Amino acid sequence: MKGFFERISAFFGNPEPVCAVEFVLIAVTFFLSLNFLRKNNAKLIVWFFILYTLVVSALVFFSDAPAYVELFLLAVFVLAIVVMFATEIKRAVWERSSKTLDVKHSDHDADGDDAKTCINEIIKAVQSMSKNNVGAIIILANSNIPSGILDTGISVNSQISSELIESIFFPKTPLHDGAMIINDTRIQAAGCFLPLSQEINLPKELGTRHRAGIGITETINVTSIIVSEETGVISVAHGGKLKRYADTEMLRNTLRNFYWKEKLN
Amino acid sequence: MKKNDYKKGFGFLSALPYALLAIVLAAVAVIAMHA
Repeated sequence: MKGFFERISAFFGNPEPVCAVEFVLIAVTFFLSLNFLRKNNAKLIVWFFILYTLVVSALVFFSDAPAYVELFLLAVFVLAIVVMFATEIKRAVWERSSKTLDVKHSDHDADGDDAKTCINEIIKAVQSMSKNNVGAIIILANSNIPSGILDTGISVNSQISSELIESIFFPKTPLHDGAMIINDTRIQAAGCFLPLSQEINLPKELGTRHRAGIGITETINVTSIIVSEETGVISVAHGGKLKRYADTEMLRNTLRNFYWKEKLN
Repeated sequence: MKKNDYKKGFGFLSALPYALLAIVLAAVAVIAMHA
């Protein structure tokens, strides 16, 4: 025990400049990791992180192992977090990069009348499809859909109209099975294939269309509007979360958030 | 102003305990490596 205090006091008596650099780098890495875990509600892993760091530090301190052993063990844990939260990290990166895209987007942003017309046309189409049990998936994108997804569909580049939306999703037509991408006041593409959500806790009654609608919002900062083919229920997905039974008010709010960049609740 | 707007300005406050925790853990790690 005497040796323990002697070593600590010797450390503070002769601090090395390299220790200060190491301390700053480790503290920043720890803070970014812990803050990321906090945002993703992984409090159990935060506790495990604390325990792991203390145990590794104690082992290295009392066994006189070289410094790089501890650095290696701590790096392994940070890497494990990266692997475990790959989807969440991807989403955080996309959200950050789409902020710059938003600025570009606002240069040709929909003015009031254009946006109101688009909102009314989309709501009219979605409600009509819901009434007739026609399945549909519409992605509201801010110019941030990867070209890999757009290439799987057919470029449309047309004005938004309820008739066109309903025609595209009409059963047995060639484009009805994929997703429609709406960018600003135009329909950019239709018949696009989206990545499916791997979430295991989704209700069983949600099919592939809902999984695709949620999957795209898990990694990219977009909003999906999904109409169920079986029940006609309208759902809205954003940030990997699905809100079912969307009424006119919710649809209107979602579209207003899309056109006027208001933050989703 | 939206319902939760007041939280936006104080977002950094909720991260403060984690910043302090990161500093303490980093100090423990550095002392263990070099003491």
